[in-house]
Amino acid sequence: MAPERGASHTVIDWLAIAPAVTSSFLASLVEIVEAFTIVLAVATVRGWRPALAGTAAAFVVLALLVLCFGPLLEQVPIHVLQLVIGILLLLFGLRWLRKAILRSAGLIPLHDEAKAFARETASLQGAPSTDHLDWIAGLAAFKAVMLEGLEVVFIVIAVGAGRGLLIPASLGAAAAALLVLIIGILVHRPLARVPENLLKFIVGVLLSSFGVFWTGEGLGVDWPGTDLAIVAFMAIFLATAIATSAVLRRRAGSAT
Amino acid sequence: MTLLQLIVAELIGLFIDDGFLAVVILLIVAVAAVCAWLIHAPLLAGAVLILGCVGVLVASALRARR
Repeated sequence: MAPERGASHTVIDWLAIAPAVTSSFLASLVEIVEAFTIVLAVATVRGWRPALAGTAAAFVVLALLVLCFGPLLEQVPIHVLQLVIGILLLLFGLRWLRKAILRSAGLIPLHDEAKAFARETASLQGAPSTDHLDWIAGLAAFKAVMLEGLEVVFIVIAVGAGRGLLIPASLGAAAAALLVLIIGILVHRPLARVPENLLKFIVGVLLSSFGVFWTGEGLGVDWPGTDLAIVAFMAIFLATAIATSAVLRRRAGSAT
Repeated sequence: MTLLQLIVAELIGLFIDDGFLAVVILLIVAVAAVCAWLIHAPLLAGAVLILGCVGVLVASALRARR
């Protein structure tokens, strides 16, 4: 019987780990692509020195934030941590899913990396050409990496901290960063072909499902099927999001 | 706007976009907490959470249409 129990444990472990790593990877992919666009715009206009300096400075600040606040998480009782993270995930995940529904229904425009690149490039080119511009360019790279990086840090903590999965979740984010970096170096232009709204749709479903699960665990709910409940939540959110998007598209079509 | 203000605004923006959505999510969690802690019906709390979140997602998206 022991091997069967071991196998069942492995399945349960993967049921917990796979959604955490997938969410972290996909969500980080979206954020890192956005940051990469700005860094590339800075590098194109003012060279790689301010772009890399701004990026490195942002990484240092993010690392300091993680080092300062990370250990505090271990002091928080697990049910309180699950409840707080669960509520934040609900706010974050449902917001993403709502936006992805509205974009797929054509009610708000899709995010366009090529346009974001052109906008940032124009704004930097429009500034008077002085040494100050290196600072402005570096600051633009810093802001982009810092703000998108904060989202990545939150996502990693949110999907990983509730059940000791911080390392797998971090690896998911690191893999996303590596992938964007490799593709970015190869193509050397904004990654406009990344299906960002599809990714946001999927990540919104994953994070909302985690949010319901962790909030319930924090409140003391014994979910039927334990970790399998997350899969059921994903199916419910996915079906709801697809149906809502279809209804909105049909209404928008009949209104025109 | 200073960089710090920008970061704080961005952090808040991570969680709050549509005020209606944010407020109703917090209300749903509050109702679920009442079910779990005061009525001692944790499964009811779970049902409130999943059904409430699905409901508010649909309502918020439909509201944006208007």
